[in-house]
Amino acid sequence: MVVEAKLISDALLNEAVDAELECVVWDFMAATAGHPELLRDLRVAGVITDDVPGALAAR
Amino acid sequence: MNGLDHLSRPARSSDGDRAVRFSFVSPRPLVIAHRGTHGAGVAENTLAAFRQAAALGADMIELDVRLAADGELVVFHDEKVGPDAVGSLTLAALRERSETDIPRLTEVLDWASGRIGLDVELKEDGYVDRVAELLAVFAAEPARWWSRRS
Repeated sequence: MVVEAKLISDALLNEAVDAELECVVWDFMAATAGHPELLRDLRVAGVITDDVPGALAAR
Repeated sequence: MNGLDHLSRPARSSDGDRAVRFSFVSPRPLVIAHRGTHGAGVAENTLAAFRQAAALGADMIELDVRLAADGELVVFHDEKVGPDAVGSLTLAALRERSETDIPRLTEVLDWASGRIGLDVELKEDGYVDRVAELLAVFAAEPARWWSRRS
C-alpha cells in the first residue's frame, strides 16, 4: 500500500518510520525553496526534485 | 531523529502490493530526478533527460508510464497530446504529434538496468502487472526501484 499526504511533517515522518515505511518526498526545488533540511533528514528515503545539482549539494 | 538504524536494514518487499519493492540504501535521502531533467533543449521523460540526470549524479530517476493504442508501454506524463488521449494513439503517432522522442518503457529499463534506480509512476489503471513483470526482469541488482500508481 502506498500512502500519500500533501504536506510532510515531523509527526508524519515519525509515524512512517515507526510503521517501517519508506517516505519519499516531492520537493521540486528542495535545495532552494527553504526545505534543505529534508535533504539531511535520515527519516526521508528519497526526495524527488527538479534541482538535482542543488539537492546533491544540500544533502 | 531515529533514522540511522535504517541504513543497515536489509532489503524487503511490502506485503500488500507486489508492485512496490523497497530497498534501504545509502546515501540517504536519495536524490530522485523528476522526469529526468528538462530544459536547455532536453525534453522530460526521454532517454536524453535520463542520461543527463545520471550524469549530474542523481541516485534515481522518476518517470511516468502510459499505455499507447498499439499496446506499447510508453514513458510520457500528460494525459493528452493536443486533443487526443495518449491511449488513442500509437507510439509512432505519439512521437510525431509530440515532436518528442518518447521512449518505450523497455528502452528505459534496458538503459537503467544496473546503472541507476527508478521511481516508476503508473498514470492509469490496467497495466500494473505488465510493468511489474518488466521491472522484475530488468531491475537486477544493483539497480533499485519503486513502482506506484498516481
